[in-house]
Amino acid sequence: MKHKLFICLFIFMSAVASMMIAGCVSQTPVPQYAENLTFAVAYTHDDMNSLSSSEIKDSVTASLNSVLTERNLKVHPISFHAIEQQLLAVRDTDRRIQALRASATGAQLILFSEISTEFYSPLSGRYRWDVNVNLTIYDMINRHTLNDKFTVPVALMYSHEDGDDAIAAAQIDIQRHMGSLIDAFMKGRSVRTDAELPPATRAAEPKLVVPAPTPAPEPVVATPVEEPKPTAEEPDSSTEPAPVKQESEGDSKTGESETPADIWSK
Amino acid sequence: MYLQTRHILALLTLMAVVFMAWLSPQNAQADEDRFSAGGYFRISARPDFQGGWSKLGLWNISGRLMNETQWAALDMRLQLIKQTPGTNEVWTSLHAKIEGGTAHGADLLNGTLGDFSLTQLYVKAGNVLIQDVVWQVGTLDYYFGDLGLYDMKFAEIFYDTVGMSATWNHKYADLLVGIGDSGYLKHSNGYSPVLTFGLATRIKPTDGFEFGVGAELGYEPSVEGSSNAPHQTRFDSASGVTYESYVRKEVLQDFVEKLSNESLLETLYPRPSATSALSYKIVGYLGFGKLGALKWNNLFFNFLRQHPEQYYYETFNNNEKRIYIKDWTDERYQFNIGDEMNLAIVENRFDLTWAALFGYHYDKDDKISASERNRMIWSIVARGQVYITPTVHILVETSFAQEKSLNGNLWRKSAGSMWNNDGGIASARGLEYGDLDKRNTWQGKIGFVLNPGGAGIFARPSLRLLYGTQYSNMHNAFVNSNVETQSQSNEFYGADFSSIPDRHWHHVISIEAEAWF
Repeated sequence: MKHKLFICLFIFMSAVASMMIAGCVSQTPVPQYAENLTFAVAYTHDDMNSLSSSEIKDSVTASLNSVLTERNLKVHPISFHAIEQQLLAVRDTDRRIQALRASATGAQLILFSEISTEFYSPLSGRYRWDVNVNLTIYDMINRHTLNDKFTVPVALMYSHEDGDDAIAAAQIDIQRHMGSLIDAFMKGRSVRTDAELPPATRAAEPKLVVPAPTPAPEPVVATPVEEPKPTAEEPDSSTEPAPVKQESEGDSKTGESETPADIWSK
Repeated sequence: MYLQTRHILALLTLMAVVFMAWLSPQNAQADEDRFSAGGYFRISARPDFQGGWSKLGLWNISGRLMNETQWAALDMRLQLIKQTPGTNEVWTSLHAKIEGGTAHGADLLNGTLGDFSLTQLYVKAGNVLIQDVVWQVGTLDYYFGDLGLYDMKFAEIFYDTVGMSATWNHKYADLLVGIGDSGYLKHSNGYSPVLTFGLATRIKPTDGFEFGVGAELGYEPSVEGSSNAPHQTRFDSASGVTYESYVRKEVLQDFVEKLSNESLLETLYPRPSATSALSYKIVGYLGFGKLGALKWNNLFFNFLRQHPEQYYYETFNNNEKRIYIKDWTDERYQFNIGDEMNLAIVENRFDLTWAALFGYHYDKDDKISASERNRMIWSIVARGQVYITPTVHILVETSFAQEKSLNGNLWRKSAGSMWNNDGGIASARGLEYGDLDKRNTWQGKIGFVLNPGGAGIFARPSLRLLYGTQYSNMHNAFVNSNVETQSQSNEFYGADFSSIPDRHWHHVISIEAEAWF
């Protein structure tokens, strides 16, 4: 008798879970930027115990690059070996960015990911690592930069796993931060209308042209400096919640809170 | 009560020190980088309609899933002198770990801080005296790895040791050497120093293969006149006291009954003989993987001799005596081996992990009583996880475990066993228990898992909705509040013992979460 009770209860709860899976929660579509922009993309894995740096696994960089391509942005990868000497020479981001400019020909923007890893301690059967990430977007023309610095805690299964494995384990978090940083940087730039979007990226609601930026990671500190000066083509970058042309409703206004875009623009 | 207060005070003191350092205004910016914290927790709600206490089975031999309850750990680190990349400058860090097995509203202890303790506290320092060597002073716990499905660490040393260790790290090998004292954890209130020496090495010849060995030796010296140092109360053959007297806790009774006059007790009762005690543990590890679908395979084993017990008290006819038992408890051995294999059957769609263990535990002093010191155990667990989406998974796990008592019956197969088990008992006065010398346990678990962190059997955080069922040939093979004793039986069933239902199946639903952070 009790078996039946339990099985019924379980089936009921499973049904609830199944309904949730079946689509009660729709994913927020990523913005599709209309401008033909190319990001020069560079990655480095800095060793905390020495001054050496190494490249990041192709599978991880491919996954991170997809954050750009799924936003209709082009990727111009900069090979680690092409810039290895410059990266080894200095560790501060500003000078490294300047060194990257020569390899970023044809790109309007640079997306530079500096990742370092550090073993923390054994923890309840796992191996706890810190993955420290410093993401920087650099505008080749205006020399604006936007930066997001964060740490992802990772618990690896095995003692033989190393910093590369920790980065692989952190890539979903890095993707989210990267997407948020790009959207913050691109705030105010035009996006494709819903009709122009590929089906997979359309919003669930037909009138929703562009979603609000992913709320997830609290960013972001950046360099400069002056208030932005919106143009006719580029609406006020402090606009909340969405950063885009609202084709059905006209420009949206206001929004007092400080956003990453407020900070970076110069 | 005293112990609880002490734990709370220790916890509060530690938290105060850490946060004062953290909040120090003159170093606020620097300290933000220097202090960090990691941790782990699991919490579950498992309503049990069969009288159980929220665990599917008795212990982890059937896999840890649904057989463990709450746990929370906070692992803090303060980098007193940060490591400078590319230099051989001295660096040092302070580590403290607080953990315990309860949470508010989730178990009988209701999250009381008295059940948390400071299980690790140590300082690490690098590049002191010898380059590339890390010194550790404080708790020294070290292990090669963990059988994740069981949550067991067979290849672990220095678990109860406080002292100093040095670790040399190299690309192809690590070497750890340590020395310390294990007396407080082995003996607690009966503290006596147990000098512990150990070493471990891990060899990493290639990327997909490594192995390691380690050992620790505990030596408790004889200390004349110290009531906590190892002693044995030795009785001659004429005294009537045997090992069986100790098992039955009737040493004093047997001794007195042999005396012609009880008043001679104080005169003739033997003085404790000082002696020394020895224990050891040898551990091994073999790991390989990165071979197609095989992500990694871990094999761990240990062989150990447990540290002997100290003493206990007996009372007979208003006479109380302390009985030292080193010689009766110093030949307890264990051999344990376990393997776990993690397979990606269909990449990002279906992973499978299976594990197995075998253990042979024997007490050379005890040839007469049934106990967990004399048993052979083995089990196998397999867990599959299907990834419907990167974050929504279906989990299926099954296990079979067998425990065999080497000295007679140890478990009850029915509620009535306590009244009708004479046929299975060698001694009418009970050196056995129940009417089973073999306990078989099967478990099955199925449910949904929400993993915000993506695919992977061991990806966390993990939010689970599970149903688990168990069949055991033992009656009530789970922690419970069901009728177990004669008085309870009288209260609920009167004299009709046969109406007490046998309970071999157990069902539990679990809503639970687990995370490392």
